[in-house]
Amino acid sequence: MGYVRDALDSLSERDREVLLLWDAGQSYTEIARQARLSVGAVGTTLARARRRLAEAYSQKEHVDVAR
Amino acid sequence: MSHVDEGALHAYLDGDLDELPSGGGRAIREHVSMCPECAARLEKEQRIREQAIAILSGPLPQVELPPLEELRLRAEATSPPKASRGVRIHRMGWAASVILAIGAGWALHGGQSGPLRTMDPIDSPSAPSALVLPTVARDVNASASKVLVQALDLDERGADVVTDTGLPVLFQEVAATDLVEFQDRLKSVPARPSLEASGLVDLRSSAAIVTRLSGTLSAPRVVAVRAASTDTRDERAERSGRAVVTSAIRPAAGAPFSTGDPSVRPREERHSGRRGGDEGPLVVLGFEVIVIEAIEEGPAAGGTRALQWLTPVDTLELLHLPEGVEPADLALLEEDGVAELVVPRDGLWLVMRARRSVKELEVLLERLDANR
Repeated sequence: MGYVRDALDSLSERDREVLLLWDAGQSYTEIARQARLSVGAVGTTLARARRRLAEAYSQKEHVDVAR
Repeated sequence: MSHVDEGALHAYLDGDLDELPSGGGRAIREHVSMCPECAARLEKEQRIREQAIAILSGPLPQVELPPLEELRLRAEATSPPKASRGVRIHRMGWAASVILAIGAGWALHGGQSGPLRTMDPIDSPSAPSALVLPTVARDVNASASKVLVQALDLDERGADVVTDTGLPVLFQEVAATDLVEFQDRLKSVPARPSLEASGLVDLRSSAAIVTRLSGTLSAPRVVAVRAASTDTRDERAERSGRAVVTSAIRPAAGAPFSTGDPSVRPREERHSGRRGGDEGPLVVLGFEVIVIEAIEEGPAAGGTRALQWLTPVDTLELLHLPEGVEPADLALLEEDGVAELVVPRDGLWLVMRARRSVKELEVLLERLDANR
């Protein structure tokens, strides 16, 4: 669970918000309204947030394994 | 067509392509199917998406929001119209305004829209912006998958929330400060076993309340709002509050208050002429359960009513019984197409009200008791 939190913390506030809103089941339009983004920007933000989340999570795991 | 950008690829993977304003969903689908390069990128993005889903599907950390004062200062710094809200929280008498809208994409699928104001502020000539919804879908959406709470206005006594929907709940456009206070108040309100006995779920007893980052509070089962019951009698006299249920649907078969009686059909079905529920017991919409907790004497006498509207568009109000009125006086009222049935349950008064006949309410009550 610590990995998840660390990975989320490594995201920008905007990326984290959009990612978690999506994870909570919101549609792109709902996310756009909540995060004050254009609907078109939601996908781009999500793409970046997912990539960074996966990278950060993977890094945390590697660091932990190396210890 | 040029190659598809990564945002559109994710919209494609999320099934939200048609929400994009460009309206090019079809063209994008066709391009991806024809372009090996984009198809390869799509596969790569799909792996990333699946990784993210796997990570997020684990237990999410309980995220602590910054201290209340910091959130308040931040809100004041970034949003002038909300600047007074933090102050107002403590100045107002009892007032809780919560908009509940159930329905995925409720604003997207042709719902009637119009300005709605949840309540007039007690101490201000102009309502804070957060209390005004620019658009509210008023129809029931069959694809409902969540409850959206779009405005939350609390005083120092707050409100609490109960539900039986099993739908996820999102608090949207609610100031983080209010969320923090709301969550605190949920914990402070005494539990009500009678709710659970009636098949409702007391949100405060749910371990699944999760405070998300960015101030989004989600909980799995919420549909109704009621007054906190910790006030003194004098404080109760000052109560006022209103919440507007903008749409409601309970799509899950087997939910509490569902009935297998085909004569008891959701109002929407009767209106549309559709026949639903073939796969399971019909879900009953359009009635309300009110628990009267206390009847006291004196000028401030009044029973607190917890209302649960399950109608698509109705006003949810926290009311007092007028002085001298006993719950029994309310029994078997039927006027203007609205029937009300008042019965004692577990030492409380259970009030059912619906745009139905008394006979239907009695059937519902039987079903309700059978499910207990």
